[in-house]
Amino acid sequence: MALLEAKGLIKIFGKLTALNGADLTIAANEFHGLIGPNGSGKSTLMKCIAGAETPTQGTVTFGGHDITQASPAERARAGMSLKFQITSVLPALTLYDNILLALQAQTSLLNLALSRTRGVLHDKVMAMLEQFRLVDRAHEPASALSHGQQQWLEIAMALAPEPKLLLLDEPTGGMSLEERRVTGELLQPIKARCSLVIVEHDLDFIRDICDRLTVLDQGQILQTGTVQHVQSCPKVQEVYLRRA
Amino acid sequence: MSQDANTLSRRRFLGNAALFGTAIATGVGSWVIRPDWANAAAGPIKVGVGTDLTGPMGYAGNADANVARMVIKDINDAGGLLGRPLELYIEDTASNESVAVGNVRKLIQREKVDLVIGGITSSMRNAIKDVIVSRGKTLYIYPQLYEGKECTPYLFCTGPTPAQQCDEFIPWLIKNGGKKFALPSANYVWPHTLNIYARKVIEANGGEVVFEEYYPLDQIDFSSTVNRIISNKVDVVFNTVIPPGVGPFFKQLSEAGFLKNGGRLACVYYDENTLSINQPAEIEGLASCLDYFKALTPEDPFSAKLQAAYEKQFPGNFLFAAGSAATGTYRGLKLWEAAVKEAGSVDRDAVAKALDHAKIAEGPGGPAEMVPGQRHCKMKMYTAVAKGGKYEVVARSAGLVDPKEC
Amino acid sequence: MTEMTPLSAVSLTRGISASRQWRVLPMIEITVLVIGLLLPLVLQDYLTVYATRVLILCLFALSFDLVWGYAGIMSFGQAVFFGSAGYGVALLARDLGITSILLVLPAGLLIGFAFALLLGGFLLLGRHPASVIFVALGTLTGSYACDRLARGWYYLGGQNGIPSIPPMTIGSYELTEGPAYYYMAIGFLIVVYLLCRFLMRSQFGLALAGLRENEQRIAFFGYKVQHLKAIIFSLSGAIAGLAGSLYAFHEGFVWPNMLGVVISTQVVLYVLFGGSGTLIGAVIGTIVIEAVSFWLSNSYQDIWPIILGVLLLLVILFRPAGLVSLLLSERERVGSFGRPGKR
Repeated sequence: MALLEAKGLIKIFGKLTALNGADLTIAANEFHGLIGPNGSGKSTLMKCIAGAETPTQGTVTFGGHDITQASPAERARAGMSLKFQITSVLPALTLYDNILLALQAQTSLLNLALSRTRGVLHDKVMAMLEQFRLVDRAHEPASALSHGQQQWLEIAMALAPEPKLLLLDEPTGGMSLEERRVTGELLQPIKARCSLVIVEHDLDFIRDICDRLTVLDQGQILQTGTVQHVQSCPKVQEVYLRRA
Repeated sequence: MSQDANTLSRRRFLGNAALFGTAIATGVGSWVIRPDWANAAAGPIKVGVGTDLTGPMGYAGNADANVARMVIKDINDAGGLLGRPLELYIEDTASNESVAVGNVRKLIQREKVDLVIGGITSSMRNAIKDVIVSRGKTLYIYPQLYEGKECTPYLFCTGPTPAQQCDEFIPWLIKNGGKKFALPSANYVWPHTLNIYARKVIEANGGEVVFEEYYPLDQIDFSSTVNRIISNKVDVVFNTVIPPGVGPFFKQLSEAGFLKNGGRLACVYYDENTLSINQPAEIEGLASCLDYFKALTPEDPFSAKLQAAYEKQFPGNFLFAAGSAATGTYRGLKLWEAAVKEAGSVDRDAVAKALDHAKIAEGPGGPAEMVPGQRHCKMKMYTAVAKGGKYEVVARSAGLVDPKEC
Repeated sequence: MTEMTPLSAVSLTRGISASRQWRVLPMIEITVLVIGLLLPLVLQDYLTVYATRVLILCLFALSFDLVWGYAGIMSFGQAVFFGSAGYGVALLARDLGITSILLVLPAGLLIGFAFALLLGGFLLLGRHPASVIFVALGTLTGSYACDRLARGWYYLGGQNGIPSIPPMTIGSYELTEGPAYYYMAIGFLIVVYLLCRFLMRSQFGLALAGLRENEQRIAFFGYKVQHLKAIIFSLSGAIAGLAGSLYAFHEGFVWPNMLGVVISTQVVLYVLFGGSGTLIGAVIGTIVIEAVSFWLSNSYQDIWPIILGVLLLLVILFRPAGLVSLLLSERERVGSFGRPGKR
C-alpha cells in the first residue's frame, strides 16, 4: 500500500486553474522530487497534500485514511510534516527552543503547563541538533544563524516529531553551493525512517538525492518515474528547453 | 460608639500636630481657605466641600463653593464657631463619580474634615455618600433638590424634595397650562423616582401623562420626542432632561412651535444659572418651583442682603440660585452651625442629634426648619415663570412646606 | 594558556555579559516586591488607599499582558471582564446580601472567565486565524456595547451604576480600605503573578511563544491552536474578573465606565508603556502611569492629561518595547524553555 496517494487533484483560484487533475503516489522510504517550470502547480500540489490548501476536487489519502479535508494539525498527528518555502523559524527563540517547540506539539496542554515532557525530550532535541550540526549554537537565538543554517534548523524542526512523510518546499532556496551539498548530506540518512517529497528548482540537487521524479507543467502531470527515466524523456526536455 | 471616640481623639491629636504643617501638606489638589488667625488651642474645625467644579455640572458646583467660602468667612469674621476658626477644604468631584470618590477620600482620610457638604446630581451623592458616611464615619449634608427617599443616618438633605416641588406646583401647572403632561427625562435615578411622585400628583389632580421617556445623558437630538409632544397636543412638558441635553431640547421644542401654540414648559431644577442656556424666546413661560428666586429680593430684605453680598464677593457667571444647590448649601451650613453651637462640640453623634431639629430664622427665601426624625428640611416654596429671560414669582407657599420624607 | 583569538575573546565576553544579563529580571521583580510589601508602613492611610487601587489595576494589567504579550491577541476589551465581574459582585451584595470573600472573589473569577470564553469564542475561534486588527476592533466594540448596555439598563443602575456596595467580609470582620485591604490585594497580585510566571516559563509558555510568533506554523506542528487561544483568553478573563471584584468592593461602587472603552484602552497603555511580555512590565507600567497621573493632577490641575499624554508618547516613540526594556535584554524577555541548569 502506498504511503501517500493523491488522485485527481484540481485546484481553482478564481479564474486561475492551478492544478488540473494531478495524481501522485509516494511509497514508504521513498525520496520523491517535484519539478517543473514556474507556475506549473508544484507548490499548489504540495500545499494540497500538506493541508495549507483544500483542493476543489480530488482526494488525498495518507496511510490508508482520507485526509482531503483534514486540518494541518490532524495531518501532523497522522505523521506528516512540512517545511514551508519561506523560513519560519522563530527568530527570538533559541535553536534549542525551536526544536523543542516542534517536538512537544503532541504533548497534552496540561502536561505542557506542568512541563512534564521537558526531561524526556531533552535528549531528542540534542540528538536533532547534533544531526544537523547545530549543537554548538544550541542556546543562541535563531536569528543569529545564517540563512542556510536557518533552513537546516527548520528541516530539523520538521523532522523532530519523526514523521512518516516529510514535505520540503524549496529547501535550498538562497543557499550557496557548499550549503546545498551539506543539505544533501543531512537529508540522506533520513530515508531509513521517512519518505520525502521535495519541490525544487535545482535539478542537480534533485538528481542526487531523489529516487523518483514527477514533472508538472501547467497544472498537470507531464511525466513520473525514476530519475533516469524522466530525465531522458523528450517531452520533459522540451518543456525545460522551451522555458529556459 | 467607642470606635468613634477613638477616631475623634486621634483626629484631634493629628489636627493639633498638623496645624502648622497644613499649609505645606494640603497645598496640593485642594483649595484650602485659611483664616487669617488661628488662636484656638483645640485647633480649627474643618469643613469639606466636595462639588462639581468642572464638567457639565460646573455651573452649579462653583456657585456652591462660592457660597461655602462666603458663609465660612462670615462665621470666622464673627469669631468662629465654639471659639475655633473654620477651615474650608474644597475638592472637585468633576461631574465624574470615579474621580469624585478619589477626591472625597482626600477630604475624609487626608484632611479628616468634620463635615462634608456637597454632591449635586443624585448619582454623585450615591457615589460619595458611602465614602463619607459609612466608611468615613463623617457627617454629610446634601444641599440639592432631588428625588427623595434618602434616609441614610448622618446624611441630611437641605434641598427641596418631590413633595415640596410637586404638591402645589403641579395643580398650578394644570390650572395654568393644561391637563395633558409629557415627561421627557434623563435616564438616571432622579428623573425615574421624581416621575413616580409627579405622576401620582398629576393624576390625582385630574391630569393625564401622555408619555414618559428616558434618554441617555449625552443625547442632543430630540426630534422624535418633539414630534410626539406636538402630535399628541401635549399641554405641559414636565422636563427632567439635564445639561448638556436640555439646551438643544428646549431649542428644538420651541422651533417646532410648542410655545407659540400655548404649550407650557415646566422644569423644577431650572434657575437663574440655567436661564442663560437658551434664548429667552425658547423658554418663554417656563415654570419652575424652587425655594428661592432672585426675583424675591424686592419683597424679602434678608434675601436681598444675601444676594447682594454674594454678588459683591463673586461677580461673574456662577450665580446664587436655588436649582444649583447654592441656597441649599447656605441653608445646610447655617443649620449645621446652629447644631454645633447647641451640641457644644463637633462630635458626629452630638451634632447629628442637634441637627435633627435645628432651625434658622433667616435664609434665602425665608426661614428653614429640620423635621425631627426625617433629616429633611421644611422651607418656603415659590413658583416662578420665565418672562423675557428673567423670572417673575407667581405663587408663594402659605408657610413652610413639609418635605414628607423618611 | 591557550592563545585566545580576538574572535573567541569577543565571544567569551559576550558569553559572560549574556549570563550576567540573564539575572536582571528576578532582581527587578524582587525590588518591586520588597517596595510593595513595605509601602503601607511609610505611607499615610489616604495614600495607602490610593496604592491599593493601583495594585488592583496591576492585577488587571497582568490579564492584558497574558493575552497580548504572550499570546499575541490584541484585546481592547479587557474591561468587559473587569466590569462585568464588578457588576456581578455588586448585584450579589445589593440583591442577595452576599459579601463574604469566599463567595464574591470566586464569583468574580468565574464571571470573568465565562465572559472571556464567550467573547473569545466568538472572535478568536474561526477557521482562519483572526487578524490583530479584527480582534482589536471586535473587542473594542464589545467593550463599547457593554458600556452602553449597562448605561441604559435601570436594573444595573443605568447611568449611575450601583453605589454603596457594603464592605467585603471575612467571616464577621469587615474588610475596609486601608492597610488590610492593601495586603490582601498585594497577596492576590503576588499569587497570580507567580502562577503566570510559572505557566509562561513552562512548555505551555513555549507553545504560546509559537502562537504569538507564527500561529499558522505551529498548527502544522500539530498544536491545537484554538484550544491554546481559548485557554489563555479565558485565564486572562478570570484574572481581570478577580481584579474587577476586588475593585468593586474597594471603591464601593460600580458604574458603566468600568465596562467601557476608556478602561480597556487604559490597561493596554499600562502594559505597552511598561513593556509587554514580561509580566513585571505590566506591573511597573501601571505603577508609573498611575503615580505620575496622581502627582501631575495635584500639581497641574488643568493640563495634567496633556502632560501625561506627551510623556506616554515620548516613551512609546523612543522605547517602543516599554520601560522595562531599559533594563531587560530581549533575550531575557523571551526567556528559554529547556531543562533548567542545562546550557
